[in-house]
Amino acid sequence: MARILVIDDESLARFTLRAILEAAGHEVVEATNGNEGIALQKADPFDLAVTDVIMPEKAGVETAIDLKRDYPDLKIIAISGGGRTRNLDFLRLAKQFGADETLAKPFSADELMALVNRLIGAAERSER
Amino acid sequence: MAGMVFAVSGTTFAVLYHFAFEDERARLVDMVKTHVRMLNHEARETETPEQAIQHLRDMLAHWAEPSAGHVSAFGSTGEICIAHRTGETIEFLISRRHGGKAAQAALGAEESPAEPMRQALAGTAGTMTATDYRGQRVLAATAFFPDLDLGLVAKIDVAEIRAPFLRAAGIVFLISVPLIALGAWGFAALASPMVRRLEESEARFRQIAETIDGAFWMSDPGNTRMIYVSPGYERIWGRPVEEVYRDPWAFFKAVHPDDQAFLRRALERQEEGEGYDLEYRVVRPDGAVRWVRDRSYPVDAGLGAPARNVGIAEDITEQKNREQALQRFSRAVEQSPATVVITDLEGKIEYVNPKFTQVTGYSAREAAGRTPRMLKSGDTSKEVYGELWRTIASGDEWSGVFRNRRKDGCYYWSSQLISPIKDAKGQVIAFIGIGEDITERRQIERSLVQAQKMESLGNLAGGIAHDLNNLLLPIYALTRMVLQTVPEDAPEHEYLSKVVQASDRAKGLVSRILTFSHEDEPDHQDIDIHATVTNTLELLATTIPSNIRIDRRLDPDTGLIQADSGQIETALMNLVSNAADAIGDVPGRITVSLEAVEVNDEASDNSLDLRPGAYAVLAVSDTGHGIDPEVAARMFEPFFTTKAVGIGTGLGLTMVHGIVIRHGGAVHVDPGLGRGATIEIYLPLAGDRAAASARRTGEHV
Repeated sequence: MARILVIDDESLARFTLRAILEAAGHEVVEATNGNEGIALQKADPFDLAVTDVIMPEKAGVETAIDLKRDYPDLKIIAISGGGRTRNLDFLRLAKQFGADETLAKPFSADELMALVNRLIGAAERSER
Repeated sequence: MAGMVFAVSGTTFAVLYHFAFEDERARLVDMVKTHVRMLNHEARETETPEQAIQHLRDMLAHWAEPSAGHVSAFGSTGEICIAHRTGETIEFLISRRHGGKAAQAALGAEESPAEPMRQALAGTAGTMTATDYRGQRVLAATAFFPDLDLGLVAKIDVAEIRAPFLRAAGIVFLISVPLIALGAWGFAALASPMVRRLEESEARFRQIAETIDGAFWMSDPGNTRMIYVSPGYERIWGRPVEEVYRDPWAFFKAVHPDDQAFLRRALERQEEGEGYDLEYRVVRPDGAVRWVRDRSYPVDAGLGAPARNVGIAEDITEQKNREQALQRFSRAVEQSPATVVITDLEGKIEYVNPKFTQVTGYSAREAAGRTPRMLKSGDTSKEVYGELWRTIASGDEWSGVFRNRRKDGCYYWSSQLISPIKDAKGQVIAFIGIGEDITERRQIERSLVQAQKMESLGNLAGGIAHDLNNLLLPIYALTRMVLQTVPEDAPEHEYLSKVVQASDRAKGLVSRILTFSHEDEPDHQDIDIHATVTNTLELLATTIPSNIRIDRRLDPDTGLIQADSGQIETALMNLVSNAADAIGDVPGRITVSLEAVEVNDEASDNSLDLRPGAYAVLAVSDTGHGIDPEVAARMFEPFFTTKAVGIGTGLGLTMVHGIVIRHGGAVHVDPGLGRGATIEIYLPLAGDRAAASARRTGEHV
């Protein structure tokens, strides 16, 4: 079981992520923007952060950069619904600047869990 | 004149008098010599001197008789005197005319009378003018006869010699004075009108020469002396006329240096008798430049060779300025980027500029005499033309846009400003039409409007896609999670499966919207367009209905393009799929062609708004009914579809458009109404071919 931080301004998205991750037995803590997420990480570090890319207050790419700089062991998955601006570009940017994996919305539980398991497994393998 | 007459006659008389005087002198000398010979003879014949003298006296007395004509020529005052010395006095022994012993005179007295006899007794032989014993002025010849100690004098009064000449002079004077007076009066009477005419002529010449604006001048044939220059010179040259009199080349020295060479040649020819008519510039002392027209005419004065050159130099600066302004205006019209047409009041073309010819294809000669109606496309209503003519005929300007037809039949758009040309009195004398070919601008505007429309639609679609994806996430993910917990045979499983299906389609739809809205950044790599097209067609072969045949006209050497092969496949699939839909159930043919083309900079070739260069052109034609103009105008808009509800998404061609634009290409549609449409997509070639194209383009430039 891992401690997972979910950062998304959309409550429906946070709810869905929580549902998928908790169903898999993980502990989920929600944040509505990047600043809040970083504060939570500071207070009690997580194993994995799933962050939306396009958010008010502090966007996902910036959040990923800050988290990875201060917590290099923290695994990060960047997700985005795209649109408005070039979301897939941002996903690519997020990967360049810290995100370990990216995933475009909408995705299935299987797709997300495949990434989560790979990252947590890798972390556990590296811990061992 | 009278003075001259008197001088001439006086001189004549003086000369004649001189000759008469000399004749008299010679005669007196002869006479004295004759008497000396007579005395010699008497001295030999007589025994004493007294006898000789007496004998001589008798002889002389005889001669003195009036009948003795042989001495009459001696004149009334002529006289022979013989005297001898008696002590200190002279005793006249013979005085032939004035009787006996006329007088005695003192020999020593210096200014006493009888000077000739004193000289004779002193032994002087000769002639003289002196005062005789009577106190009269005489011309005398003297001799001395020593044997008898006698002096001889032959003399005559000077007054007698002079008298005829004085009389003649008096007569001449008396005659000539009235004659001279008469002559002078006659001359004055005859000459004064001529003089007056000459004076008037001179005055007229001066008035003309001095009041004309130009500089009237007159020089000698060799240009070494300026004979006359009118004051106009000062007005034009800004220099005093005196300088030209001092230096006849002074006017030339003020000529603009660039104009001196040809003027110098003309002046050299002028020396050979040729005139000239030249325009040159003069630089005034204050630096102002004046244009001068100088005309020179050689004048031969009937002598055969030029006697002088006359000419007139006029200030044509204003005229020149007007000419230059007109020339500039003319050149401006000739070189104008706008078409210019001038017609008469009936609309017959009198002038068109080169731009008009370039735009319409009609040369100036072809257009002359015709009317602008030759450009009519038929699109403009009679009412518009009526309003145009009413406006310009009433002296106002008319402006508007025409769709016109060129000589080759093609159409073009022209923005026209048509104005009446008025004379100084305000009468309309012609019309001028200034036009701008706005065809290209209209195309660009339309393209821009279309691009803006597509751009805003893209932004809208992108926004919708983002929100839809966020909304789809719980449906897409949670429904699947729930479905796994529901038994397959339960009705809820089927319901939830439908939700999953719907969310799948929704996800696909949003993905296509994102592709259109440029959100999906293509993964560009060098790909062989021929291979990509071939592979795609093989995939399609299984899905195209059997009533449709696919013809391939693919150039395997088309080359490489920088592209996302997946997107190119998607685009081609959409085009072929649309073509198949256009054919429907009837037998038909889809032709897919691929080739490399050069797009150059010429507008006619570049209506696609492509950069010049090498492109791969992938074209898909069908044998359907073609595309209606209304459909063609909207076919790339998202969600625009002609297909039945549920069959088409309206995103196929939208996606094609988005893909091609993102690859730096363009889409060209030939609607082919009634014969089948052709859609061409242009994709820029990469690698050697593009480089070669760039080199070719560079060479052309």
